[in-house]
Amino acid sequence: MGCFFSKKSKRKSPEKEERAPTTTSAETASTGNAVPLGNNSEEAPKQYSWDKREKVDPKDYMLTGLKDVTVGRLPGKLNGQQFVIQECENCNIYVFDHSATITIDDCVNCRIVLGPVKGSVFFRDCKDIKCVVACQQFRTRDCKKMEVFLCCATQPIIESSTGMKFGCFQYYYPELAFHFKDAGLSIFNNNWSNIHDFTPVSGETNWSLMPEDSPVLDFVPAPDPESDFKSVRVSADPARSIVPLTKGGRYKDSEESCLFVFFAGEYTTANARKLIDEATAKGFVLIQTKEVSMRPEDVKRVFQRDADDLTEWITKGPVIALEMNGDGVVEACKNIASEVFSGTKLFVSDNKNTSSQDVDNFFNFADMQMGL
Amino acid sequence: MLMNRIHTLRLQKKSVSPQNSIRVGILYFTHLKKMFHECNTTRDLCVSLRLTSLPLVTLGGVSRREGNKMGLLSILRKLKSTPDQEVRILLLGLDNGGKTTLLKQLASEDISHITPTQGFNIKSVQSQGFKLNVWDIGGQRKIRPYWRNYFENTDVLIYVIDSADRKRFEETGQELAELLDEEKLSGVPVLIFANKQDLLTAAPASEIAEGLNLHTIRDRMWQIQSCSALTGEGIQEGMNWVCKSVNSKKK
Repeated sequence: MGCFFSKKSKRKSPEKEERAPTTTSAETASTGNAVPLGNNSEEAPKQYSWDKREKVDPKDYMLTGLKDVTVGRLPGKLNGQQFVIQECENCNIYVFDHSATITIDDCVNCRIVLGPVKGSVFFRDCKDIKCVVACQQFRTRDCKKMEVFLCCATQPIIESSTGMKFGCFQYYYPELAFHFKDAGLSIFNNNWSNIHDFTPVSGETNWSLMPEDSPVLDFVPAPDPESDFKSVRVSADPARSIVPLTKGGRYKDSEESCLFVFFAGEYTTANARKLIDEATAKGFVLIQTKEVSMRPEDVKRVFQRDADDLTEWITKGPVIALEMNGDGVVEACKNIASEVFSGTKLFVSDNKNTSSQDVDNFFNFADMQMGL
Repeated sequence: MLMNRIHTLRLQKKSVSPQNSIRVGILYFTHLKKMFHECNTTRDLCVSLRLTSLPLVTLGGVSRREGNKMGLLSILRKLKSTPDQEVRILLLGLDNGGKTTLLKQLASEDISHITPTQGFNIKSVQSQGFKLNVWDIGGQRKIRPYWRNYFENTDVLIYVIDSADRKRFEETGQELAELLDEEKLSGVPVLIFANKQDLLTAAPASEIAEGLNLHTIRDRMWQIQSCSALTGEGIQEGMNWVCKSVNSKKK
C-alpha cells in the first residue's frame, strides 16, 4: 500500500525491539486489530462490530484514475457505505444511492451527482467541477472553480478555495426520496447559501451564489442514454425537485414575509409541499425551510402568543417551518390556511407588522438548536 | 442491604459504648463512600440512607438529631480521598476526523446533526469519579496554528484520526509528530483514537500505529484505540485508559 506516513528524522531511530503492533494482532478476518497497542496494554483483544463483519475489497468502493468515461453506482449498489473518488478527469460520475461519507480528490473537469450522504462530502485539490450534492456536511480544501447545487444540513465550509459557486439542490430520481430518509437527511434542512470561508481574502470573495433559475442539466447533464445509468429516470425540473427550492441568502424582493409552521402529524411533509405549491403559484417566494424538534419551553419564546394551544402539538415530532415572501403574503397564507388546511395543526403569522418578528424568532431558535 | 450489615455489626457488639459505636459508625461509613459520590447534598444522602429511621447510636455520636447534619457530611467528606478531580483534556486532529462527534458522544448527546467546528467546543463530562473538561478544537489547516493557545495545563491529549481517509495519513502523522515535540505538551499522555472503523476502507489500528511509528514514543504514556464515534464502540475503552493515565500521573 505504500508509505502514507511521514518519516521525520527528528524522532530518535527506533530500537530493534518487539514490533508488538504487527506481530501480536493477527490480521485475519476474525480478530481484526482490536488490541490496545500501547506501552501500557493489559487488556485482551475485544471484538467490535467491524471485526465481525464480512470483509470486502475497498476497491469496490473507489473510483480511481478514470478518464473520459461515465461511471458511478446504481440505486442499491452502495447502500450506505463509504465511497471514494480520486484522480478522475473529464468524467460523468453518478452516485445514485445513499452513502456514509464521500471524499473526492484530485479530480479535474468532472460532472458529479452525489446521492444523499449521511456524513461529510469533502472535495480536495479539485478543479472545474460541476456537481449536485446532498449531505450533512460539505467541505472543500484547495479547490478551484466549482459549481455546486447543494443540499447541506449544516453550514458548508471552504478552505483555500476560489471560484466557488453555489445554488440550491434541484434534482429528482425515483429512489431519491428514500435515499434522503436512509441518509437521515431532511429535505427541509438546507443551508446551501451561507458558506463559511476559512481563508477569506480581503478585497475578493472566494465564493458566490449562482444566478437563480440556473438550469442544472446545463451543468450536470443527465446520464447518457447509452450508459449503465439510462435506467435511472432523472429530472432536474424545479417543480419535481425532492428538495424544495429556496431563495436562501439571495436578495428578497419584498419586505413582507410570513411564517408558516406545520406540527407533526401524518401528512406534515405532504402538507408543507402543498403549501409551497399553493403559495408559489400565487407568485410568492420560498425563502427558507427548517425541520426541527421543539420542547414545550421553546414554544412560548418562539411563538409568544397562542403558546398554550401549541405546546401539546410539539411533543408529537419535529415541526416543519417555512418562510414565504412577497407583498400580501401574510393575507394569502392565512387564506390558504383556512381554505386548504382547515383542521390541520399549524401556525401562520397573523399580520404583516409582526410577521418578520415571527420569522426571526423561529429561525434564530432553529439555528441555535441545530448548532452545537 | 446496608441496614442488614449494620444490624449484623450491632449484634456482634455486645455493648454500645461510645468507642464501639464509633467503630460501627466508621465501618458503616466505609460502605457509604460510593453512595456519597452520588449525593450532592446532605439531604440527598440522608434520604438515600433513610437515616432518619436509623437509631442514633449506630452513628457513633458523630451527629446529634437536633440538627447537626452538616457535621455528618464533613466527616464523610474527610473519608473521600479527594474531591472530584478535574482533568483537562485536549481533543485534536485533522479537520473531518470526528472530534466533535466524539465530544458529543462523550456527553451522550445527539450526533445526527454536527457542523464543522469553526472555533472550538468545550464540554464537561463526569467519568469514573473525574470531571473531564474536554476542549475540542477545529482542525482545518488554516487554524492549526491556534492549537498552541490551548496546550497549557493539558492533562491528557486525545488525537483523533480518520482511519478511512488514507489520502491524509501522512498529513495526520505529521501533525501528531509536531504535537509530540511541543514543549508545553511534554510528558502529557496521549490517546490516539483510530476513528471511523465503521467505514469500509478504514485501516486497522495496528496499521495506523505502525505508520505513525508509535512504538518509538519514549517520553510519555500512549495508547491507540480503535473506535467509531458514530456508533460509540471503543470510546469507553479509550476513556478508561485516559482515567487510568491521569491516576498514574497524579500519584
